[in-house]
Amino acid sequence: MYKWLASFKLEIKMIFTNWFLLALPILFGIWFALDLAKIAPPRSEDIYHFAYDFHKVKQTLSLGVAMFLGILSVRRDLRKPTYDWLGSLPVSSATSLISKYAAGLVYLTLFVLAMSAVFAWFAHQREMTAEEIWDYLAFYGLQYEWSYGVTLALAMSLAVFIKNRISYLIGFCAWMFGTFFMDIFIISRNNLFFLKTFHLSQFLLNSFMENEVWGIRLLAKEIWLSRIFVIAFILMLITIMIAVLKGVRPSRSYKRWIGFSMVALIFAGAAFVPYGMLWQERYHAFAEKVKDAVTIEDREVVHNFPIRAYDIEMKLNPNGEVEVSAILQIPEAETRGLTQLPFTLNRMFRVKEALADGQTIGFSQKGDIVTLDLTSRKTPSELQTITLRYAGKVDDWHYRSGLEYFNAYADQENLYLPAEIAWYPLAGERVLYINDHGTGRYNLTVNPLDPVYPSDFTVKVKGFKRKVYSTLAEEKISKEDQGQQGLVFVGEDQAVSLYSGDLVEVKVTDQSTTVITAPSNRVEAERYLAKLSAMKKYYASWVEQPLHEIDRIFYSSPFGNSIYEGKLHGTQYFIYESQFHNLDESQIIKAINRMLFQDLETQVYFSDNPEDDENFSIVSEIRLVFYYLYGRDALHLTHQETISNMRLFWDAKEKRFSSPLLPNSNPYLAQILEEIDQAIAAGKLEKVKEVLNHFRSEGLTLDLSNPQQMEYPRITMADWQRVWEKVMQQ
Amino acid sequence: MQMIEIKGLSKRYGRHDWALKEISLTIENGIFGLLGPNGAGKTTLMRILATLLKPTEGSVSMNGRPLSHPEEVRKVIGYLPQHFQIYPHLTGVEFLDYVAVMKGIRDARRRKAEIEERLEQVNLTAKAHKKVRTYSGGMRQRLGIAQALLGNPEILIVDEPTAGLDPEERVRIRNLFSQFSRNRILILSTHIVSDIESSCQKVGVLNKGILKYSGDLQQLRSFAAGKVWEMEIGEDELGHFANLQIVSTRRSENGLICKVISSEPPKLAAREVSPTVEEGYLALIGGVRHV
Amino acid sequence: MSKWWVELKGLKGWMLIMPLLYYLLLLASILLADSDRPRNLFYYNEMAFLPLLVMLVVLFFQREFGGSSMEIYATLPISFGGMLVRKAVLLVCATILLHLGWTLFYWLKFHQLRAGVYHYFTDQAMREETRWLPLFLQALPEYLIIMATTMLTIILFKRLYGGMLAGFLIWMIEVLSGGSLFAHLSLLTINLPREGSFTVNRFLLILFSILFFLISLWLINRRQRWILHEEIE
Repeated sequence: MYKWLASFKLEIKMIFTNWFLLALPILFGIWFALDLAKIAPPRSEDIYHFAYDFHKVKQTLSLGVAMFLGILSVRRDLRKPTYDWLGSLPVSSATSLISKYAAGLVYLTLFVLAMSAVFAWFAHQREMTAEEIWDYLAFYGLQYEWSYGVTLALAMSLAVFIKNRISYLIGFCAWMFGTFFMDIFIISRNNLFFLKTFHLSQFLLNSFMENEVWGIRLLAKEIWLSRIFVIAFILMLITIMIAVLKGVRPSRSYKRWIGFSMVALIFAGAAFVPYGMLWQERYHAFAEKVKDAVTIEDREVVHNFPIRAYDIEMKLNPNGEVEVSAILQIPEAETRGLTQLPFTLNRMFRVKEALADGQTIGFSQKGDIVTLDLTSRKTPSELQTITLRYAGKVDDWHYRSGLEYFNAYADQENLYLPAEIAWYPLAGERVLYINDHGTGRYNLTVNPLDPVYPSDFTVKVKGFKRKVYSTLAEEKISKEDQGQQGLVFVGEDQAVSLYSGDLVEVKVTDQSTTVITAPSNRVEAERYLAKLSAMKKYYASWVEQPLHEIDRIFYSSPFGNSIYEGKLHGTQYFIYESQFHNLDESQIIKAINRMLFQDLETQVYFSDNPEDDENFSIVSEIRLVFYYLYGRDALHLTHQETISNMRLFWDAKEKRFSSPLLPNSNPYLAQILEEIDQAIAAGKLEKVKEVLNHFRSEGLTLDLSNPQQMEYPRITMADWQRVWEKVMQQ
Repeated sequence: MQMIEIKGLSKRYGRHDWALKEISLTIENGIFGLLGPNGAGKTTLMRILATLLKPTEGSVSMNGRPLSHPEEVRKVIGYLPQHFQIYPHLTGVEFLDYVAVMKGIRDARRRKAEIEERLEQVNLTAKAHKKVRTYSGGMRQRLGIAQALLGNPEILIVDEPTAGLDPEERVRIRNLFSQFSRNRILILSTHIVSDIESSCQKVGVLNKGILKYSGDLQQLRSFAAGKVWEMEIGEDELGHFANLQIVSTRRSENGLICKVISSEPPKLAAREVSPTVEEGYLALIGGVRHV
Repeated sequence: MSKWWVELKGLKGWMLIMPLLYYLLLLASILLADSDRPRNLFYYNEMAFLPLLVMLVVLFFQREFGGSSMEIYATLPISFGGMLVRKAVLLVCATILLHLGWTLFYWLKFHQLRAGVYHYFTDQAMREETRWLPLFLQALPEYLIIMATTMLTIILFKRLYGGMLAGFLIWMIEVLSGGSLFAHLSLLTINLPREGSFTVNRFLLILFSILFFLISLWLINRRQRWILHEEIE
């Protein structure tokens, strides 16, 4: 041991007396700090995203240092003729090699420490708690270490096996191949995600890890299995290296080390098995989905029928299985004369029991379709009750266009159950996945849930450690369930989705709206709520009819392909974030839209052709005037300043939502704003508000959900002028 | 009694390239000199004994320890190769400390004392705390000798130890080796025959991988007995004797005084002289030419 | 003429394997592709070609750098500046030949050369049919800068691996950062900022290539730098 320590000290000295090597971790930390210091509005302020961006590029670059150091440390003396006299000393090749590896790893840990220190500092500035910061660093710090560990071992192996300087060239090519090339050209292009374990860092350029709330948690099992394999692989490489060195320099234990190498090889192979099996299961499940998927033209629902009410009790068992009891109330008329009644339920769940009005009935389950046998049931009541009890492990891994994600997942800490995956029985036979064959490859997406009749939902949830959120309103926590975070959700809706994860609730005083988001967005959410609160107060002070509420805003990364448009469920608003899409001005406007006009729609002009009686309307222009007034009245901005502050459209160049109101390109808006400016100048602000209140009371809501049948008020310029003149002349 | 027994030792590179062929040799206490021209196999033999190379055939026993147990052999040897490097970032003391630990000297105080003693012996005390990269070639050589001596190895294997040293240092090192080899084996490979003459009791001569001679210096000298001639010639006559083995030339008042190895006197005026060790060696490996 | 031959002879050795294999891999990827779905020319013309050039520079300097022979070279009655110029010329010739090689291979396989073509002076960029020379000239400045950088780093640090590391690092940064780091000095045409000028970018790259080459010339002529206290690598 003392010899190993002396050897280790020598190696440490070699590295730490090299000014170039010493400077690198410091520069690495500074680089990270510069990246994180750029976080500021108007871009997303999600520190997690920016940090991951750094990891996937700059950490990958730092692997070049690991590669270089590994090769150099071996070539420096172990494979150099003028140093081979050291072989005459009574010290084992294993001692030399392991001390080099350990010293290299200690040095590379400096990069981890630099990253950790910088992240901790900036995260603290962004009000992340110590626990949240620790959670983050515990994952990414380990991921860094693993990646340095395997790269170092690989580099040293190259130098041990290949005496020539070509080992450097091979090493750098391996660095290139084992990161970026493997990511883009092999893994993503061919959807060979199981090869991630061979990626030197596993920070792919497009990765599910980028999802802060669920990413690394849903991938946790896979990542740990991968880490176990990588450790075994590293041990194998080290063992083989020692065996090779023992072969080069006479040793009595050479044959023994050959034996150890075989064992290490077998061990590494065995360590791959659990990882391989996980992927086999995933790809098998995906293949099953592909079999039943249809093209977009064939996604009609067969035998759709309304379900009056759902009473769902969902429990997560200690073994990780989700157990559900779903009681459906179906009008008898819908099942009259039928011998079979089909439902769609995700194949992840196995139905254990089916009852009709309390009587057990037969059923069959094939794929995602559960068919109830109605022939044996007694005469149904007017509102018959169908009960299905089912259970299963929820883990729906998926990929599309080189990106992997989960359609559904459930464990104690994480819950992602969108309605579309049929976690509760849906009426009729539905296809859960659509396959777009355009590129010749599987391109599965979840089938949007329509058409579906609205139902009254009561959903009880138990067994989850973290708070569960739903698209329904939350009712209460029952006393007996409190210890287990049991919750009851009630409401009428077309569907219900459930979520739970590493989410934080952000509130500001005097504001009833809560933002539920990832910890990294806390500061951004506070700023957003403060702005929202100010605007809400302003409008509440003069609009006549009450504002519509938003109780909750969910702000989180979506699964699969990101969708910019948010969704409204009752008084809850879901915003999907991406790196450039954040709680910015456009989101303020959407929230205010909801409060003022009940919908989220932003700038949609219907005012192209005034002769078009059927479609023409200046409703959008009038809606925009409400914001204009905020800028002029509440913020006391000039006309131009107000125009510049209204940001609605995406500007790729500035990477933010921009494009002002552009009244110059909209003659109606320009005319209206001019009239308002004149009225304000003349001290007739209250009259302007009266005009706006009039139109609001008449209705300014847009419902564009059905493109074939868009619902919006038809308001002409003449309508505006008539009201305007009437009020102004009063 | 310390002893190295070499039996039938051979080393082959590739299929047909024999660097050493069936060397059998016994080396006892004292300094054993190893002579031979370039490519004779001296370094190969040294490296085998230093457990850096595996022999193709044969066996070696180093003080009762077979070479097939290299880990055991390494505990009792000190080795200084002909070409070597030392970590330039370390100071002399740091380097010797590292080697001392590797040689199994655990006690720090004992290590320190021995390092100081060795540095003193090789006259490097003044530079002990300077980085090795500031050392001249000769200093590095002396440092190499110091590390080989650390731990008082039973067997010291040194290859061209005095190369790069000035005459004073060379004498010093020779004396050091003489002291060291009293109850130990020291194998000294060198081109400098005066090193052999002044310190070795026994000598071995390798040529083209074969052991041409092993024995004492007197016997080596005898290979040139009756074959060493000294003569005075004019400078323009030198070309006439080009086919003979001219051992040395020096200027005289009338021309050049040459020493030649030849079976017959090269010229009438040549007189026979007693051979030196070098001449015996040259006669052995170069063969004796005829006029 | 003999000095040119000497430069070429210096390419022999184990190091030759890597660039050779890499080039063959590029050709193989063209060969194995579906004839009806031509591969993106950008990858061959720019992204994948740059690492090959780094390896090429290392190959050309492998004899002079590494081993204890550097000090001996420094005493030889040869012009180091001339040596560097010869190597640079040969590098450019090799680049042309290799580029011609894969372009011909590509054309024989797909019977077209269709790429995002950038026009000098007009800064127009569009996807169109092109010929070998415009394709080559479009990418030449980035070839020059990466070779010049690799060359300069080798000479500056007197280490072959220094140049390798620098060359590969620049390429990796360029590819992974999508041009966010180098901005108007981006090597790859796809990373050029939208508001930037292609012509200005290319000329800047050429300018820096020349500058790095001149610095290399100055450094290499300082013979005292060739004295080594220890054997390299």
